[in-house]
Amino acid sequence: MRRIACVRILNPLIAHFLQRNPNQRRQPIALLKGTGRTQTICALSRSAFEAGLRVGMLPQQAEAVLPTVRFVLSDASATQQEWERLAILLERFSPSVEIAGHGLFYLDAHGMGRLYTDIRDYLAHLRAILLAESYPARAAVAGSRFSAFAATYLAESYVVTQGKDRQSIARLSVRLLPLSPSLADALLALGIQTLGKLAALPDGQVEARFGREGIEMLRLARGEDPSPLRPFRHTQPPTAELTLDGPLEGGEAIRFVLSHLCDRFISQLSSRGLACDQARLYLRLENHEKITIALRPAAATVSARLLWHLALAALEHERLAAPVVALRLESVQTSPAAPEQKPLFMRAIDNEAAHVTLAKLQAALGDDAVLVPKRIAAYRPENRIRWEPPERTFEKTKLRDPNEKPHDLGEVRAGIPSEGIRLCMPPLPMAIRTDTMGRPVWAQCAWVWGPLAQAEGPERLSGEWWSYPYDRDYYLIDWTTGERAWVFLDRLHGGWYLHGLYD
Amino acid sequence: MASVALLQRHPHLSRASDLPPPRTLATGIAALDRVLPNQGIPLGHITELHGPASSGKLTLAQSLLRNVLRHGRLAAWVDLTGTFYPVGLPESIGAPLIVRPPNLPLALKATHILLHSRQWELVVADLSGSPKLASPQALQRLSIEAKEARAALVILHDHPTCNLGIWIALRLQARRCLSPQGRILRIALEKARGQRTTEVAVPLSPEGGRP
Repeated sequence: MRRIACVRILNPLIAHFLQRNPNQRRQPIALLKGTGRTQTICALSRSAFEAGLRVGMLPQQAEAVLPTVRFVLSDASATQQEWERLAILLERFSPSVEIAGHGLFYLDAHGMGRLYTDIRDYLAHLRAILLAESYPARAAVAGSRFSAFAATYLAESYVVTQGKDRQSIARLSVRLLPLSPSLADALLALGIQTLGKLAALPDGQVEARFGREGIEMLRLARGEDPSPLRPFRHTQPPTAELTLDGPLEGGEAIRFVLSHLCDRFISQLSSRGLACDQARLYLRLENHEKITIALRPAAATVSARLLWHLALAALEHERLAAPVVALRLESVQTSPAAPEQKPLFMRAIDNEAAHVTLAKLQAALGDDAVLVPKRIAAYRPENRIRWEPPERTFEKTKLRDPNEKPHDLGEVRAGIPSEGIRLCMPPLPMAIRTDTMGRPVWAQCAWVWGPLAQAEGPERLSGEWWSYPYDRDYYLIDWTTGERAWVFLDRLHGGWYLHGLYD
Repeated sequence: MASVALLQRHPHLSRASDLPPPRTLATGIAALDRVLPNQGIPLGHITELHGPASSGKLTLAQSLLRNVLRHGRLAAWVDLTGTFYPVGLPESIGAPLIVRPPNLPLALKATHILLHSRQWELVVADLSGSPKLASPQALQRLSIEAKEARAALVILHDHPTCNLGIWIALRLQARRCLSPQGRILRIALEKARGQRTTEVAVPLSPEGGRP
């Protein structure tokens, strides 16, 4: 079953303007489209809207209503570039990302919830990454594109249950549909204001009255939108650019700036899952001279440091006739990053610092007090964990790639935690009264005593007759007050023991 | 599609572990995460989790521990009671570091050392059963270290540490109950900055989590 996520940036054109001009957040802004006398307002900031301005007004009308309004000409190409930049960011969250309009993205979300705590967590991450770029957004997941889009109007994050698209969006306005003005007017005149009302209409009558467009709208309102995602294609190769505030002269300063440029470049590559086969470094000098340097690593790399060293080595052979004013690093050839290269993007664990800490803990508490549990195959429950010194675990931690690990999803996804247990070592003697069948009905240990609500068992464990034989009947007991314990009857020596207390 | 297969086909996809570090750690209990401020246990602060023996606080702390480990992060458990048992922690997600101090002052010292190293993102100090409570001065020092380390320090105790716990950002009380539907863990959000106090009920696994 398809799962489509929709991410909708709120007031996208204004958000883009404010992202570039954060100091103008408090000013009423009106974005204009068109040229000359045909200029009209296409987007408004909140303060401008609250002052009475509306989309579609002429600049003169707007100025008459609000003289302090600031007009800004909408830059279509810059806006498109920005949406492409955000789409590249969102590609980390989905194999296919579609740019469907200004600040509107569709993502293939099938199976993505498994990479997160749940699908809500996935949506929260989508919104968080855009918010980090100063774009407040809403996100929703549904079975079709239109349902996902409509669901963004239900809440900031909304998950439409599989197969419930029609019911979920039923109370939303028909104005969300891509209606022609004539059809919109006709529907509203007939009192069909919600998607639910539209979806309930019979197909034949809708087709007879509104034709093909009416049937398409009917399908959308019913959550039936089979149209595929049209994945966004990169129009620009990964590129990093730095324009300097002033001319840069001297080796140390260029080394520093180059390091920053390489980091940015590799960060772009990593967001697309690529490694650099070949790149070009462009330097623009103060005397308008341009220098091009080819960087060819021996193998495809995702290491910013390697590129930096290559660039420095190449620069040593260049004589710069004037100070540098701008730098640009552009990829010429890329290849998919190999799995073994991916750990380079991971947050590193400082192994040395971890070992120093272990040494400090061992000095303060003794070697036996700093441990790591390891499961082993054993019959006796108390022997199923072996306590190991932690150093070896850290060696493994250093090499382990979190992306390669299997997820422990089952119970966590269901939100039902496994109960934690405190294991008593050695088991503590306790008082238990039993019924005529020998099942516990009343129990007392150090913390709790009283009648039992239930006792599950027995589970008989016995063995190790060749060394230290044991023969136990285990019960899970629940006191009427809610406490729970794991107890056993020692069948060899007699007596009841508390082996674990659920906490 | 399994997550591993998805990542193999599309190696550029991010998992939660690859993304910029969040300000909170999710507990893995969705109902609780929804009501917690920023959907989790705060990083850089102390969280206190209290309740009497067998109240369910360990269950909640182990769920948090499991969630941190499965995201490839380091977690440590200061086990003053010496009763830690890794139930529900498969080896595939890694193991926590267990520190077993003999008394409360050394438990606080071990917690301080762990936070000071800046390597562990979650440190759980299980002080259950200790007759003494951590002093406000100790909490102050630990709070400063937790903030510097951007780590979550979770203190488990039978009773609330003190009424004037200004160093504690979040206080949760756990309570285990029996209901006709099964065993339920009730978690009361007693203190949370910028959040109203509330209570959530989480059904516990019917299998019981046998060791």
